[in-house]
Amino acid sequence: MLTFKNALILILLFVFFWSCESNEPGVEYSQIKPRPPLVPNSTTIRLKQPLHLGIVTRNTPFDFTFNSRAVHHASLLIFTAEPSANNRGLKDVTGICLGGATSMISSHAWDNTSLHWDATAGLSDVYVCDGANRLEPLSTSTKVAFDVSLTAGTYYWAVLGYNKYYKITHSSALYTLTVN
Amino acid sequence: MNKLKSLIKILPSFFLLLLLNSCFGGGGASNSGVDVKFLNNFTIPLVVEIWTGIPVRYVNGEVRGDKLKNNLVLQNVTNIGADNKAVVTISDDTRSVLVIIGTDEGVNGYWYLTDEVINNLDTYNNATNNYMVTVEIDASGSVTVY
Repeated sequence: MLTFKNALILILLFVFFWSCESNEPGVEYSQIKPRPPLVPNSTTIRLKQPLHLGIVTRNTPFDFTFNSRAVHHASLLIFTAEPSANNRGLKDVTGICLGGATSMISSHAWDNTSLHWDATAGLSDVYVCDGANRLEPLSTSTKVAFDVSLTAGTYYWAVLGYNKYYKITHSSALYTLTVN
Repeated sequence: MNKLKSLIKILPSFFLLLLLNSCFGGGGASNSGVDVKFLNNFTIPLVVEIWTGIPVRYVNGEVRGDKLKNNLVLQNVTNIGADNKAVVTISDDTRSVLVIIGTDEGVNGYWYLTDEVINNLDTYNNATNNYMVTVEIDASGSVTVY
């Protein structure tokens, strides 16, 4: 028979084992902070490779890798200069957009995880910014000619995410890429 | 009255249990450690933060897991090819550590670069009684753990 004393022991044992599992927190804060997204008030898209401040060799193919699965549409853009502080909404990237690719153009290869950059333009997944449309700067058919477009120097890249109305809702941090 | 007496009798045992629990941190503590060696071929100073726990992962500035223990923040891991070594203690039996690598650009603290979870450490060093891990960051920023 369950006496009062036995019941009390059971309760205390329960409290003991419960405290064993809960006495250490499940979340702590790192001193290393995430970089803020390029577009203010947007949700962060994570970039993987090349890392911020990474160096690539001009004639060596590499992949941009990221994760944009959470958005309806996405674009990767490579810039020749940092977007100015008053253009962080990327309303107009004329003059600073080198190339990229997007899920919004059916001829572009887009899998939400990687984009291949190749020394041979025909093998690359990166298209030029032709300036035909300031809101959608990427060419539907002309790929970046590696030897002409990517000289040694500093570049910037980011991934933008859009909702079904083509409004930017997500963006990555702006990563710097050095080509040598 | 009898019930009250029973309660009073059992209270010391209760507090003893709580004391044991707090002393041993919920159990599972281990004396094993990890020798971590950093090879930095990156171009700027890095900071490295190491966490142990079950499991551990970095999400937007938060480290999530149980039995979390932040072993160290190493600053200025700058020398190309130099052996920047650290020893951390494994706080549980899972033999896993989370290595968070950030940049030290001299402004606004440390900025996230990448992180790696190293599970099932298996390179045990009998001489030091520690597991061995080498974290190598190449010029592009790619991280290899071995």
